[in-house]
Amino acid sequence: MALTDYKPEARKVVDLDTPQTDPNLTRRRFLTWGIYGVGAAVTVALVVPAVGYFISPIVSGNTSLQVPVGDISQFASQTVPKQIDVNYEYKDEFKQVPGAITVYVQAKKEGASKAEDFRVLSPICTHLGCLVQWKEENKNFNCPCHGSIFDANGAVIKGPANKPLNNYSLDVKDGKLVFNPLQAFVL
Amino acid sequence: MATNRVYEWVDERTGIKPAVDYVMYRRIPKSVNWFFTMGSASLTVFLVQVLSGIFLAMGYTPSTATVPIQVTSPDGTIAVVNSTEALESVRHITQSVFLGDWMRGFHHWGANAMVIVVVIHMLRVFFMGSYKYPRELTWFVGVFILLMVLGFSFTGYLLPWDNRAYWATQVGINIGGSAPVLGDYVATALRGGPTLGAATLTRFYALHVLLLPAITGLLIAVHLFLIIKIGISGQPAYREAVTGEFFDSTSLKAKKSGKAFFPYIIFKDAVVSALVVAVIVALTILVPVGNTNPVDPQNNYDPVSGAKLDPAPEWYFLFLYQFLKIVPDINLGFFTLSSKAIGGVIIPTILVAVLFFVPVLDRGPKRHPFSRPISTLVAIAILAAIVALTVTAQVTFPGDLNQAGQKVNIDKVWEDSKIVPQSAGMQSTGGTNATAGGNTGAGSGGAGAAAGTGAAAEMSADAQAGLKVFQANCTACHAGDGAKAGIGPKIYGDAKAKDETYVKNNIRNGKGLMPAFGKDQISDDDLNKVTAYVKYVAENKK
Repeated sequence: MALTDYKPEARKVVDLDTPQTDPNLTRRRFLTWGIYGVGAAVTVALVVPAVGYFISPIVSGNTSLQVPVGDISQFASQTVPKQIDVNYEYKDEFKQVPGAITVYVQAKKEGASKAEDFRVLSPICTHLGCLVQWKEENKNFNCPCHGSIFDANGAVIKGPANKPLNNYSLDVKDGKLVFNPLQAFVL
Repeated sequence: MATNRVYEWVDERTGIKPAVDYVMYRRIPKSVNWFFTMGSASLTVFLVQVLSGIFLAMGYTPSTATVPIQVTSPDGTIAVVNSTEALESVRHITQSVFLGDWMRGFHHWGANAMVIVVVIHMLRVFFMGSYKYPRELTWFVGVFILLMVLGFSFTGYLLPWDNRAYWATQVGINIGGSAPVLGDYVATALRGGPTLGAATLTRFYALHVLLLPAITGLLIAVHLFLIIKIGISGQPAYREAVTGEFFDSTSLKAKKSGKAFFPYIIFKDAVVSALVVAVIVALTILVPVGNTNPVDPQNNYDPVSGAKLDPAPEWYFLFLYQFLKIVPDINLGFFTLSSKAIGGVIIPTILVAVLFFVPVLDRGPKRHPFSRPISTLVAIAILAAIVALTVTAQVTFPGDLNQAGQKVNIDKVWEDSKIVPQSAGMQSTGGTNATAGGNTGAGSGGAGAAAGTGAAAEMSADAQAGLKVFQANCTACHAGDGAKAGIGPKIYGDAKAKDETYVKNNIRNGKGLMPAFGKDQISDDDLNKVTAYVKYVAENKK
């Protein structure tokens, strides 16, 4: 059959069971909607929990963890960013795994002693999440992926990044500066 | 013939013969040329991927659980780093399982071939106007299949869980995450949490081996059904216009004058498919597929290659990588669209939408590319831009550099390097921070020791150097650095091998099948070192 011969009305199902004179077709209508209804109910019962399972990480939030960066006295007069490699362990799903991150610690003023006197910069580029690297010779952070540059305080010097590097929330515990390396930032 | 009788038996019960005849002996227009073989070549590559994928899945473990490994770089230095079950299972398939490197090669090069073949197929359909009436639906389904191919390459790339896969996926998910409004939710759901980790790997694995193949299989079935139902378009004539009447008359003409699909048309398909498979096999043999260092969230200079990974994507995504560098932010007054959202989400979405709606946007009856200059020129401009961006990226991106700024191929070095899985209890340095140099580490490192018995002693410097000597002279017979029996016996846990005099005597004088090693082969100094290694594994390993 050629496509131009296509006539939709020719394909209408002829219902042999129902008298054509019946104006309401109630039984037939009931069964039709019954099929749709049962189908929809089964679909919803299966798909809604499946979607919920898949998107549940959205509401699960941060894992809280307190990891020391070092003694607070050590950074009291650290006014230029100091690179610190931090190794820790955390529970990923059901297993303990090692984690590692490089952060940049800086005292906002000479003789800093409280958590809010410090800044711990996350090295994760606010563009697309590559690791920025401190360039000692230029005193700035370079991103190897798309070429963003940040100054020592994390402010953008050159895009494509358009947000400053993130600061971790800090606390002081037993004379040590502590932070949560799993703190998530919206890039 | 027996096969005929079986076929007849089946036909009697199914009535399948008319359907098979319809498919195999349908008439195809004579103008069908070699460009029309790319669709069946894509199908062939898909089958290569299914086949190799099934066998890879038999050996692969989608787990981020820590496995300490001992690696030897080409210059002989030894380091212990934390790897993962995922990466080590991939390495095991590639390096130890019989024909495992073939399965890996088929799958890796098949994935690359798939992108090329599918794109050529799509360009053929586009430039010959084959998407026009009545084949619009075939095109719509085809665009979905293209998206599936991209989905496969994105999810499959992560599975080896090496450093390059980790950083490519980090960036890839963040691109999706930069979409306005819903982006962050999509990114979090894909990752299975706020950061890349165990859940990301299992999610990507499930998508790659279960969901995507199921959807793709269905789409291919619909695509093929439509092709068989409607017929092949053939080459467009210059002034030809596709209308209902024209289609009816050409399909009638093809029915009378065309050639049977089997064997005239399928022969070309078979030749091209065989060529594509030959290329995949040749690449599998000639270019081994390697891995980089294990995932390193600090992306340090890795201890084996001495280089730092440059997180650039696969070649077919380089245009996007380059594009993301040059797109500016756009300020709409009330809202600023970030460059990454524009370059990574909005423009690609628009391009895919335009591609999808090509049959709707270009509804004119003319098929020949010269008869519809606007769509032809727009397509050529977009293609040229993609090629230009890819070339720019290729020449400007730095590559994996070592501290001296020289280019190093990390995958190759790790491929060539000797890797020994450590038994539980072996002391490991946390992560790959062996190169972190000068910075004070904090927190709890040394995670590798946590799972072990804690009984094993640390390998002495002499024994570590001895391992090198052992690898140079002994592993041909004492397999796996003495962990397994080969021609010679297993040395791990061997009570006699704890006796230094016994070991030295055997090395110098030989024993049974074992040849004697003179001072020209193993110096006295090396003899002491290799004996220390043998003693160490005899005492500490099983």
